[in-house]
Amino acid sequence: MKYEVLAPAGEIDAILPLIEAGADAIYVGLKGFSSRPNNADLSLDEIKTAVNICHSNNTRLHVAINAGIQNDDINIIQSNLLSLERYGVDAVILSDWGMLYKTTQLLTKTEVHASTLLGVYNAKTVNLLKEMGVNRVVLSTNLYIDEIISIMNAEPDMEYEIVADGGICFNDNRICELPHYLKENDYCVGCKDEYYRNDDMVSIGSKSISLSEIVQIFVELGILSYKIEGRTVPYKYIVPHTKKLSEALKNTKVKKDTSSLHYFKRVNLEDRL
Amino acid sequence: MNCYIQTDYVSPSMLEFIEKHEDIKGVVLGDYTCNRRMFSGGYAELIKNVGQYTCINKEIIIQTPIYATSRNVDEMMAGIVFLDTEYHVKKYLVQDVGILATISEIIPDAELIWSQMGRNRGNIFNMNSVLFLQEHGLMGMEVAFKSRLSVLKKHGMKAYASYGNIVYKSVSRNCYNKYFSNDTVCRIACCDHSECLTTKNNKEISVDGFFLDKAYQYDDSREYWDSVYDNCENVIIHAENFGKALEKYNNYKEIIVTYE
Repeated sequence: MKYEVLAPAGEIDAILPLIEAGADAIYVGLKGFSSRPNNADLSLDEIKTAVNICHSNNTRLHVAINAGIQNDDINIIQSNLLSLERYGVDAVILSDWGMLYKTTQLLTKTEVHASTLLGVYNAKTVNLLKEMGVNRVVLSTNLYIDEIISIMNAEPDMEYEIVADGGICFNDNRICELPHYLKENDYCVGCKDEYYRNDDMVSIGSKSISLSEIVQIFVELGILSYKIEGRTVPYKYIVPHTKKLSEALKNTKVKKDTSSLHYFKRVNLEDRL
Repeated sequence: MNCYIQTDYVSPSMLEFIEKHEDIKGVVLGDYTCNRRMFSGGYAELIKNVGQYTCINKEIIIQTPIYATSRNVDEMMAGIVFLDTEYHVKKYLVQDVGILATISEIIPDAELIWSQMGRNRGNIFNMNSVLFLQEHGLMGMEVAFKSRLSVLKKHGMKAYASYGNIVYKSVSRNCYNKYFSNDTVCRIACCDHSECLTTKNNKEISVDGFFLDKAYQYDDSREYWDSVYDNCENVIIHAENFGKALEKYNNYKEIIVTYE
């Protein structure tokens, strides 16, 4: 598999339609320990079922444990992590430095991914994660392309994921407190209200964005995984986005000769051509 | 108690005031987001200020910015090395793990403090994370909640009590103001806290450079200060400007005198 469309499932019933729409991997939240409300998360038993559905359809399952982890939660999360590995979960997504460190030592088969909520902005941070044994970094949503290039050139051996649909926001990468409204026919839970400066009525809001139209750029960079956001959103809204992104990736042609793409010439990109 | 002052803007009168007050140990220099906001001359003026405060024997803590990317890391690190070499600046407020590790490697004797912005954004909720950061050179943490103060002391971390906890609705990588290329107007725009309107709820929200609805909250409660006095030796007074800092410094003096 060259590139991965990673789609969100807030319920078991979402998994098959998303796979049919072109998802190469599904991510879910672990009930009680994800950054989304519990009703958008799956219990351990449900995750066990989800693994079976995904694997029997040649699809990966990732589990997000990305809430703020308190001292009292550590033991139970470690126990849950071992259960997830036993079930065959392909990756866990973590956003806590201490938990990342402990988990890379604890799990032997399951991949460990650094969540976008960790706030990775530079190559040194990626280097620390790599040394720790983290397999993938989900890049911050508010990085400029030249900054992504710089990180990837400095640390080409890391696997990279971007938020490609939904939560692209130049406000602080979801670590903010703007009101979050769920709009009709709009699966983005983000701060989608339009704010205007009073003096000139220039909008300073953040709009829902899909990278489908420009996904070629990120493919050329060597980004492996393309995440769609929206675990709290009914999957009927996610399915068309999954189809669109999947089609866009399928239609992407990576240039055979990358010699002119100075910045884009990366070790593992060559392998994929 | 070691008292430090961090304001959004510095002024000559602040320098004079701090020089006259021996109980103020030092200042925090450097903006959370954009040094042009704090100093119209940017990094060069920061260095000039470091020189001035060093001359009056005040300790300097450098605030490193929120977003440390390939666009600014080299300049930031060159500046830090310069400040260490020329002015022996050893204390840094950090909010990015990569920057923490880098400064720790380059200046092994630096005192690295996790700043309040780092705490707001950094998902440091448990001691595993604190211990991890300690392994990468973290020696202290700025805190605004009494429960954290005692926990840090127990783990051998130096606590810096915040007097003026920063709160905001959001911080952006783009300045919300439009005057970035005009130094004078740019700073005025940050100062005037112009209001924005959301069309949906008619709700006003203030703009302050890169922040929406930025404010400092002050905890004058007996419980907080009991904990500060029991668990730490350092307080950082945060304020928008020197006038506000003066007011809060006087509050702080009234509070702290009851313990001494």
